[in-house]
Amino acid sequence: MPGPGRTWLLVFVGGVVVASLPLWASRYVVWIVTEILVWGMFATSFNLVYGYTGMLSFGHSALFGLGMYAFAFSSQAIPVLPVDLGIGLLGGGLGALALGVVAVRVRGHGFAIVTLVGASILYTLAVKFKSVSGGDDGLVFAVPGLGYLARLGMQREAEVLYIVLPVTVAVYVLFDRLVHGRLGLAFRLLRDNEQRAEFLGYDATALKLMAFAISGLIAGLSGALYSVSTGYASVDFLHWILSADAIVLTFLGGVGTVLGPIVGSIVLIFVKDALSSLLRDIYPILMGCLVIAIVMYFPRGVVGTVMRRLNAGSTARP
Amino acid sequence: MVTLDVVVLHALDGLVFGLILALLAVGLSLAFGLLDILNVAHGAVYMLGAVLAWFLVSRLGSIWWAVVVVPLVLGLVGLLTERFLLRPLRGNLDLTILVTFGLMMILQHATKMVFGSAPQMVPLPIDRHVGLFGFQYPVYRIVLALVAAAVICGLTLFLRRARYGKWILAVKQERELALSLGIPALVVQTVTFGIALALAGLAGVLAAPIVSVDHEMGLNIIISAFIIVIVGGLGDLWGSVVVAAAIGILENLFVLVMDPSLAKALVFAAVGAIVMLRPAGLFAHGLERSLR
Repeated sequence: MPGPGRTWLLVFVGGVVVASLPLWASRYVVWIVTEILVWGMFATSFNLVYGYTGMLSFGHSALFGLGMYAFAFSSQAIPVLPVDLGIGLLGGGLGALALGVVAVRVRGHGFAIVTLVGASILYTLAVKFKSVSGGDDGLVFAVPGLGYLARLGMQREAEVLYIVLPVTVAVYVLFDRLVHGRLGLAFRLLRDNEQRAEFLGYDATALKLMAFAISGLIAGLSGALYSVSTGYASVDFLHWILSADAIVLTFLGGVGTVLGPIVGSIVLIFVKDALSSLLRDIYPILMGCLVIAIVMYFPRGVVGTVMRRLNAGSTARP
Repeated sequence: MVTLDVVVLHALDGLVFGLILALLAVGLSLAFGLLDILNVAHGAVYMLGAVLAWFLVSRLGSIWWAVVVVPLVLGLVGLLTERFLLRPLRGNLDLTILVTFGLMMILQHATKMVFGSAPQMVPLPIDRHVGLFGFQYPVYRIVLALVAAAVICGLTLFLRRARYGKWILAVKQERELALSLGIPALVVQTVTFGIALALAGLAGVLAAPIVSVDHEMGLNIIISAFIIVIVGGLGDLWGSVVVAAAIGILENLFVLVMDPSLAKALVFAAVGAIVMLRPAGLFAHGLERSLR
């Protein structure tokens, strides 16, 4: 059955399976799955602006990093987990607003470059002010909220999973509602034909900024969640190369589909894991080849291709 | 002590480096203006030029071979890349960004695998100084500047006068008509991308003796190159040159009074301001003006 019903079913089933993991899977698997969820969320933030609104952004690493650091600082000041996560979320969103205000004004493909430059400035400044950011050694801090369940005998990885999982599911549900709602429709109109959107009376700049800001919230949250899982923040995550990860994941899984980024995340992390025994440098080379191969032969990604096959003959859009 | 000759010295160094940036930016601009290709791998090609120059110098002893051979080799790489990786994308800019990004990852890490990650130094081929404005300035940098300037001027003249330049304009503006007149549009595209990469390679070779050569040197310079192309006006070749020189000089001057990373950040911020004021770039007349 095509349509949103199937997405929700998959999310529900997936959520239940993942939630049961600590009962039967190893700590390593639990940790890997947590990574998949976090990076999947990060890729989703990119998917919102690129897959649904048509803006290619290299700046998402900045938003991830801002969320991560906002969470780190706020954890040390106010050790209440939900508050800190909220601050991480806001860090990403505000960063996106600041960067977006400049970036959305550039016509066409300059947007990608401006976001790239913005992320670079932030990275350069963060490296420079090492006393604040910890440089590439990073900051190590205690994550608030962890430890409660540990006292009941639960392992750390499981605790982290039970924080990350509900947040991720909530974000996906909201994301699905967003892109299938009126605002999502406006974003997609912008992606497909910006001129027509303007003729119809939509304020393209304001819409783009909104998409970018929401995307920033999600990216910031994923940065904060990553910190939850590692207790660590470093400027390495501000480097623009991280944005590329989000792009690859999204393309791999399927641009413009709700579940695409997480599928991409699953695939790539398995690939990474399988290759980790090989020479360390082979992995980026293979990733480069993978990107080229996907772009040239499977531009719709895994989910996109699957949906195409399943919907063959129907005119419904995902 | 910041005296006048220190300022002039830094400005000159900045101008020299700006010309290197200009070589990069011209290639990038050409690829973008004509082919709708945003070549993220441009910095990696520059790096490859420098690394190959180092390799040839350590084997053959002279960099002047590299100045000729390396751009030709990289130009060939450009031809092959356009023909097999980029042409199938049919001008979809987002996809070219992704493909060239993949290419960048491959080039960078393959270089790391083959040559290692330790930075290398290439000895100055001309280790003399000459009296200039009252102090001694390295001859090599002057030669570098002259070579870069000559190549840029030569290229621009060629594009303006020779038929090839007209062909580029024709393919860009009226592709069907150009094809029906017998202009080999596909060949023009391929060769132009080859030229762009050759320029990047040349920049790398020339820069090798004055910078530290390692597999990551492309990452930072690509950002400057993108900035130049955007601020100069996408597709406008002389605009890129002017902005490149300006950025080179300004960054070197800022370094006199502040930390290098702050200087960089300031230059980037200035770019942000310019982009907000004139989103199409400072000299946004595009490829047409360069080639007319």
